[in-house]
Amino acid sequence: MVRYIGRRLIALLPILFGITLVVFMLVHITPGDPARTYLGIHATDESLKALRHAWGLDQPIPLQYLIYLSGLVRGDLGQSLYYGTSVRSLIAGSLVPTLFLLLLSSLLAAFVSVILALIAATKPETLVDHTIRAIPTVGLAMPTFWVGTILILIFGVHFGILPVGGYGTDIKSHLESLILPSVAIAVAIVPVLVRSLRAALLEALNMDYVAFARAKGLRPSSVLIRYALRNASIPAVNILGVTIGFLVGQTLVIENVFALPGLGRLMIQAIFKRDFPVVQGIALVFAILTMIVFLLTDVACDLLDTRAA
Amino acid sequence: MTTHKAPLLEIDALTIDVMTAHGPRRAVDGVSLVLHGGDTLGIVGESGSGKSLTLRAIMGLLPKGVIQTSGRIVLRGVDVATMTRRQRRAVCGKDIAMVFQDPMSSLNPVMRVGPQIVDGLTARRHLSYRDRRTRAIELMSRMGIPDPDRRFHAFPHQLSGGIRQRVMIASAMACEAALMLCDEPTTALDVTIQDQILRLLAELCEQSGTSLLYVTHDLAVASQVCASINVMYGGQLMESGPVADVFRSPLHPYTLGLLGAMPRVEHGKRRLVPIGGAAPALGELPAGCPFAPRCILAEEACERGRIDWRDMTDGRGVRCVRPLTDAIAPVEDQR
Ligand SMILES: Nc1ncnc2c1ncn2[C@@H]1O[C@H](COP(=O)(O)OP(=O)(O)O)[C@@H](O)[C@H]1O
Ligand SMILES: [Mg+2]
Repeated sequence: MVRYIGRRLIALLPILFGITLVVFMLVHITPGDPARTYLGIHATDESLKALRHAWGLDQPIPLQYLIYLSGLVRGDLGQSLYYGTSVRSLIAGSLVPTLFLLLLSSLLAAFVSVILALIAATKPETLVDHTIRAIPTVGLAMPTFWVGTILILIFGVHFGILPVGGYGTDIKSHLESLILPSVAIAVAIVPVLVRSLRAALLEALNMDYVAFARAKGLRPSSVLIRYALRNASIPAVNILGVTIGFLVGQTLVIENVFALPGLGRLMIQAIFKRDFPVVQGIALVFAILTMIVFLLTDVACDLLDTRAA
Repeated sequence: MTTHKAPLLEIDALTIDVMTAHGPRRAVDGVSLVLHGGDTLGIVGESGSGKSLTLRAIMGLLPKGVIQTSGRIVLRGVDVATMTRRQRRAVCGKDIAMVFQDPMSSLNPVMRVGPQIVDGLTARRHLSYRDRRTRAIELMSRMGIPDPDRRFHAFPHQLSGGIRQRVMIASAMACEAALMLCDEPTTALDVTIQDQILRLLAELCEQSGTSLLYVTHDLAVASQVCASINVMYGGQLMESGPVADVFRSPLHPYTLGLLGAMPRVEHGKRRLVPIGGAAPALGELPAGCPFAPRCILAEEACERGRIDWRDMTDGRGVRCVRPLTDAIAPVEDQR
C-alpha cells in the first residue's frame, strides 16, 4: 500500500509540471498590467518600466517561466506584488481555514447523505423515498452563493445564533464560523451523493450475499450496514472524491460570501490586484489539493474494496 | 418417522406469482410437501421450474416482484403467516438454514470469511472475539477446509469455489439448524469438488441428524444425498417417492425423460430417450399438464385441464393422467 501511494505520488509529478505551465500561461495571457494596478493611473512611464523590470516582467515569457520554475523547485513561490511578503507565507496563513472548511463540509455531506440514502433504500418507491430524492435536488438547483446568503440572513441576521462571517479567534469561534459555510456547500453536494448511494444500496440489497445474510437471521440493521452499505460505499466514495475535487473550486465563492480568511478569498483579492505570483501559487495549491483528494479517494476505495488490493 | 409429532416443515399448496410487465405469471403452482425430522428430501427439476422460489418462500426471502399468492408454510406446527417479522427472523438461521447456489456471489466480498461464518451466531448471543474465532475455526475444520487459522482472515475472492461453498455450508451450520435448505450448492463447482461437497453434506446430516431439503436439476446428485425426491416441472410437482423406487420405476413420463437425460444409466433395461423440446417459459404454461407439449405419451385428456395429484402406494404420488406403470395402483382413484 505504501509503495502504491509512492508510485501514485511520482506519477503526479508530470501532471504537476503541466499544471504549472497552464497556470503560468493563464496568468500571463489575462489582460491587465500589475505595475499599472500597483502604481495607479497617474504613474509615469519611467516608474512603470522600472517596476516591471524589478518584477522581471520585461523578460521574454519563456524565460519568466523558467525563472518561476527554478524558484518552485527550491520551494520558492515568489513574492507577493501587493503585500511584499513571500507567497509561501501568505498561503500558509490562509491554508488552514480552507482545509478545515473542506473537511467539515465533506464530513457533513457524507454523514447526511448516508443517513438519507439508508432511509430511502429501506423504503424504496415510497413517499419517504421520493421525498428524500426530490428535496435535495432543489438544493442542486440553487447556486451556492445564494444558499450562503440565505443562511446568513436566517441564522446570522434574523436569529443571530451564528456569526454572519469571519473566522473568529479561537477553536470554538472557528467552528461556529464554519457551520454555515459547510452547510451551504453540503447543500450543493448532498443531492449527488444521496442519489448515487441510494442506487448503490438498492443494487447491493438485491445481491445474493444480502439474501444469504438474511437467511442467517441477521438483524435488518446489520444486513443494511455491514453487508449493503459497505459494498455500496465503494462507488459512493468515488463520487464523494470527485465532488470534493469540485468543492476546492467552490471555496472561492463560499469564502467570499462568508468572509472566511482562506485561500479562496486570498485568491479573489489577488486576482483583483493583478497580484499574479499569489494567483499562481494558490492555483498550484488548489491543483495539488485536488490531486491529493483524488489519491485519497482511490486509497479509500482500495481499502473498502478488498478485491482490488 | 414419527407422524404423531408435527412435521418439521409442511408446505401446503404453495403458489407463487412473478409480476411481469404483462401481469402476474405463475412460477410455483400448488406445491405441497411434508418433511419430518431426519428426512432428506430432494426437489429435482429443470432450470426455471420454480425450485429456488419454493426454497426462498420457506425462508421468507422472495425477491422483489415475486409474491406468494396462496398456500401455507408451516414450521413445527406454526404457520409462518402468523409469525411476526421478528419471530420469522429468529427462525431463519437457527431452525432453518439455507445454502445458496452460487458460492461466488453469496458471500459478502468485503468481509473476511471467518466473521461471516459466525455472524448468524453472534446475532443471537454475545460472543467474545476469541470465542467467535474458535467457533469459526472449529466449523471450518469440520467442513474439511485446510488451514482454517489462516483462512479465517481470508476474503472470499482469495478462496476457490469449493472452499467458498464449504464456507457457506459452515455458516449455515453455525447455529446447528434442524433443517438445511440447499439450493443447488454444487452446480457451480466442478465434478470432483461437487462429489466431495455432497459426501460432506450427507455425512454432516447423518452425524447431527439435520434434515435436508435439497434442490437440484440433477437426479444423480439427488440420489446421492436424498432418501426421497420430488420431481418438479413448470411450477408443479410431477412425482414424488423414495429415491430408489422413483429410479427403478418412474411413474411420470417426465421423470422417465429426466432419467434418460442422465449421463449414466444402467444399460439393458429400457431404451431411454432424452426429452425433446425445451422447458416452457414463464407464462407460457398450457392449461393442462405443463409437460404435455413435450410428452411422447400425451393424449387429449392431458391438455383438457389441470391434472390432479394422485397418491399411490409405498409413499409415492404422481400428477399424470396415465402413470407409467399399472403394477402400482392408485390409493384412491380421484376421477
Ligand atoms: N426475481 C425474479 N424476478 C422475476 N422472475 C423470477 C425471479 N426469480 C425467478 N423468476 C422466474 O420464476 C421462475 C422460477 O424460477 P426459479 O425458482 O429460480 O427456478 P429454478 O430454481 O427451478 O431454476 C423462472 O421462470 C424465473 O424466470
Ligand atoms: Mg434455481
